[in-house]
Amino acid sequence: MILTLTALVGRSLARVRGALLGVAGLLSALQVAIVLQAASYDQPTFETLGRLTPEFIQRWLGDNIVAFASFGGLVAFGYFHPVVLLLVAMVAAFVASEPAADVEGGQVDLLLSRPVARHWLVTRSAVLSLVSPLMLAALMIASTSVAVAAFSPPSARGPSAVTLVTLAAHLVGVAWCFGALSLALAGVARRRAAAFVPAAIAAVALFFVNLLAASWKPARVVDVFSPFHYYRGTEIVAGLSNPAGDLFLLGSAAVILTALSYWRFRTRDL
Amino acid sequence: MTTIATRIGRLTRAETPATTPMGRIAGSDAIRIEGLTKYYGRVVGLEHLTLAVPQGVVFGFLGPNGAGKTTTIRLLLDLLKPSAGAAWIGGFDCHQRSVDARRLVGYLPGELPIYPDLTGHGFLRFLAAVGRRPVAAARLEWLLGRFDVSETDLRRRMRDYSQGMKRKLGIIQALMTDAPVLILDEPTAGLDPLMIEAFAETLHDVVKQSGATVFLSSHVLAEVEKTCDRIALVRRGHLVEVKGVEEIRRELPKRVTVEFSMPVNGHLPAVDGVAVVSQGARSCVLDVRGPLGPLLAAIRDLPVHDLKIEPTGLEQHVLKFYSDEEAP
Repeated sequence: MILTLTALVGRSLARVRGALLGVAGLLSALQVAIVLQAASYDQPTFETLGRLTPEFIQRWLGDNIVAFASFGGLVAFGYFHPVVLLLVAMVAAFVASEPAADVEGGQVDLLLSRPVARHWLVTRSAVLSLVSPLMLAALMIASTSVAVAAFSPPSARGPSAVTLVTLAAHLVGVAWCFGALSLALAGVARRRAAAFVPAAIAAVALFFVNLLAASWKPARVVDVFSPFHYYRGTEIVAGLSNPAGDLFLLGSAAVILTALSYWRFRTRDL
Repeated sequence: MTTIATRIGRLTRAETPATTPMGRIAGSDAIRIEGLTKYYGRVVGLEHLTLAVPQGVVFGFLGPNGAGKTTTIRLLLDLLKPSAGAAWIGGFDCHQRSVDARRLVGYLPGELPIYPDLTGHGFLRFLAAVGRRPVAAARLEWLLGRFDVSETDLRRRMRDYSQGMKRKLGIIQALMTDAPVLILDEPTAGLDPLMIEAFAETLHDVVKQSGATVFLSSHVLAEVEKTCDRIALVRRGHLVEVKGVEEIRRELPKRVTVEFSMPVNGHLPAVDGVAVVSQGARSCVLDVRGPLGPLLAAIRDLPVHDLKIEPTGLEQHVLKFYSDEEAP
C-alpha cells in the first residue's frame, strides 16, 4: 500500500508543483529581504523602531517587543509575519482540499475503481497538508541561515537554530490546523472551492480575531479557538514560551479534524 | 528499443504482488445483484434491482437517460452506498469487501476524467502504479496497436487530446490489466467508426482469450446487438427485462414490405401472426412472427409487384420500452 500512497502523493505534488514552487520562492525571497533589511539597521534604529511601532501592534507583540527590536528578533519576525502565516496556511488548506477536487473532476471514479481503499485518498491529503508546510518551513530556515551567514553585520547575532526550528514548528502547526480543517470539509464537499474557501476565510478571520484579542477583551473568548493564539512568536524569540504545550494543542486539533475527514469520506456517496 | 508499453509493463511487474487474482473467478456468476436500491433523498435512483451476470458473458445494460444505469455501476464500484440490497463481484460484497471486489474490475467511466498536466504515458503509468495490478507489456503493446495510439501520442499532454483520443486511452486503461470483470460505461462515445470496429474486435478477443465478463452500458443499440450476449433493460430505476440477444432476435417479427402494381385498398386478408404496421393504396408494411408461408399464400392472388423482407433489429425492441410511458 505504501507504493499506492507514494503514487498518489507524487501525483498530487506534481499537480500543485507550480503553486508550491511559487510560494516557496516568495517565502525564501521574503526571508532574505527581512535579513537584508535587519542588516541595514544599527541598534539605535531598532530602539526607534520599537518606539514607533503602533500601540495595537505592541500589544499584539506583548511585553517582548524588546526581543523583537533587535537584529535576531527582526529576522525571526519573518516566521510570524502575517503574510507568511496566512500564505503557508492557505497552501496547506489548498493541498488538503484535494479529495473534494477528485470528486469534482471525476478522478475519484478512476482511482476508486481500482483496489484502493477510500481512506488512502484522505491519507494522501493529510500527508500533503503536513508535508507542504514542512517543506516551506525547511526552505525558509535554509534561506534565513544562508542570508544571515552572508549578510549579517559582524556585531549582530541572528536567531539561534533552536529558535528558528521552534518558530518553524509553530508555523507548520498552525498551517496544519487549517489544512486539517480544509480536509474535514473536503470529506463532505463535492467541489474543491467548498472545502478550500471556508478554510481560507477562517484563517484570515481567526488571524484578525487573534490580533484584536490583544486589545479587545471580548475577542479573547473566540481567540482561544484560533490556532494563531497558540503561536506566540515573540515569546518564543524571548525564550518565554512553552512550545511543547502549544504544539501539542495545535497537533491535537489537526489530528481531530483529520479523523473527522476519514469518517465522513468513508461513509459518503462520491 | 524500449517502448513506453515495455516501461509501464516493467514498472508494474516489479511493483505488484505476484498473487494478484487474475483470470477466471470462482463461482458461476461474475456479478450478482439482489434487491439493490438507491434513493437520492426522495428521488428513486434504483429500486429493487435483482440480476445475475454469468461469467464470460458480454452483458448489455440499457435504458434511457436517468434510468439508473450509472447509479448501478457506481453502486457496484462502491462509489455510492446502497439504500438497500447488495451486490457481489466475483463473490465479494461490493460494499463490505469493496477493495477485493474492485481488484477484479477494469472500469471505463462514462466521462473519462483526465489529469491535464500528464502525458498519456504518465497517465497509464500512474494508474498502473495505483492499481497494483500487473500490466503485461505485450498486452499493452497489443492494445495500443489496436487503437492506433502511437508513442508520439503517448508523449503528448492529455490537455491536448481530442475526445476520441481520451476515449481510446480510457478503454486501454480499463483493459490493460487483464481484469476478469470489465465494467464499461458508454465505451464508444466519441470514437470514429473505425475505432468502434476496433473496440468490438478487441472486446471479442478479450472475452475469447481470457473469459472475461463484460458489463456494458450503452445507448448505441447497433453496437449492443453486435457485441452483447444478453441485455438488461432498466427504466426509471426499475428492471424491465433481462434476455439473451439471440432469444430477442428469435422473438422479433420480420418486417415485410409488399408493393402492389395496382391499388388493393381493403383487400389484404387477415393472417395469424401478421400485424399491419402501415397500409397504403399500393403498399403495406407488415410484422410477421413465425414462418412466412401463410402470408405468401394469402397474397398469392393479389397483384404483388415487389416484396422486401428485413429482420427487425434489437433497436425496435428496445425503443418500444424506451418510449412506453407506462411504469412496469
